[in-house]
Amino acid sequence: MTEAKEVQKPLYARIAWVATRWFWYGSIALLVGYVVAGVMAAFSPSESKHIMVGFMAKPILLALISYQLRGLVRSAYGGRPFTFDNVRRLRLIGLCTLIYGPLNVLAKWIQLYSSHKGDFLDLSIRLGVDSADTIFLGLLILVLAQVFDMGVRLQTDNDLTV
Amino acid sequence: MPILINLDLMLVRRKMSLTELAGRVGVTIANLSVLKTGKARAVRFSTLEAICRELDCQPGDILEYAPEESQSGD
Repeated sequence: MTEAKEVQKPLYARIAWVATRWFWYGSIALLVGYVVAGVMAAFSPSESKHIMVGFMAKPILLALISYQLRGLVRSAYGGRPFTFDNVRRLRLIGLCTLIYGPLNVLAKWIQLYSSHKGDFLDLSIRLGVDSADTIFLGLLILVLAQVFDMGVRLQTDNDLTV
Repeated sequence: MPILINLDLMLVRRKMSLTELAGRVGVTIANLSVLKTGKARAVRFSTLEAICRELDCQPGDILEYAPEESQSGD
């Protein structure tokens, strides 16, 4: 017979648990909003149809990140964070974060270009400067995923030590 | 893995079940089963000591080195 030990979770863990859940709901609501706006733009006679395609990437990436984050926090909350699933989740979050900034800049640039206000020099500067923080953050998460990968191996070794 | 575990052989010799040994040594049956089936990656000295004490044997009676075919130089 197995005894389920009820351990009181620390406050920050409970906050993270609730926050990621609401982040997930928020990103889904945002995604639905963008889809509705996209459908409305597609049926409108304006010339801004292609702008929506660029902007759609943002809520999709946010939804993807929040979904993975939810799984990550759920497993950490469950007491076993060192799994290969979490390494995969972290890698996906890292990649999404990495491309989030450049995609955002690209979407803005498409908007400017369509209104004949953007040029390629402006785009290259914006890609480098405006998206530097998310690129840095994405790389940091990817490194963290690699550290997690090593943690999983250590956890497996520990589990198989009698 | 060229290290073989002869725990089942020693258990038969001592007429002891895995459950009984697990209880005497103080490890779970699942962990002892991992050791018996050769899936374990490491054995703590304290566990080995307890197993040898309960089975009244030497570590060499439980562990055996069998070199793999590809590793033999001749």
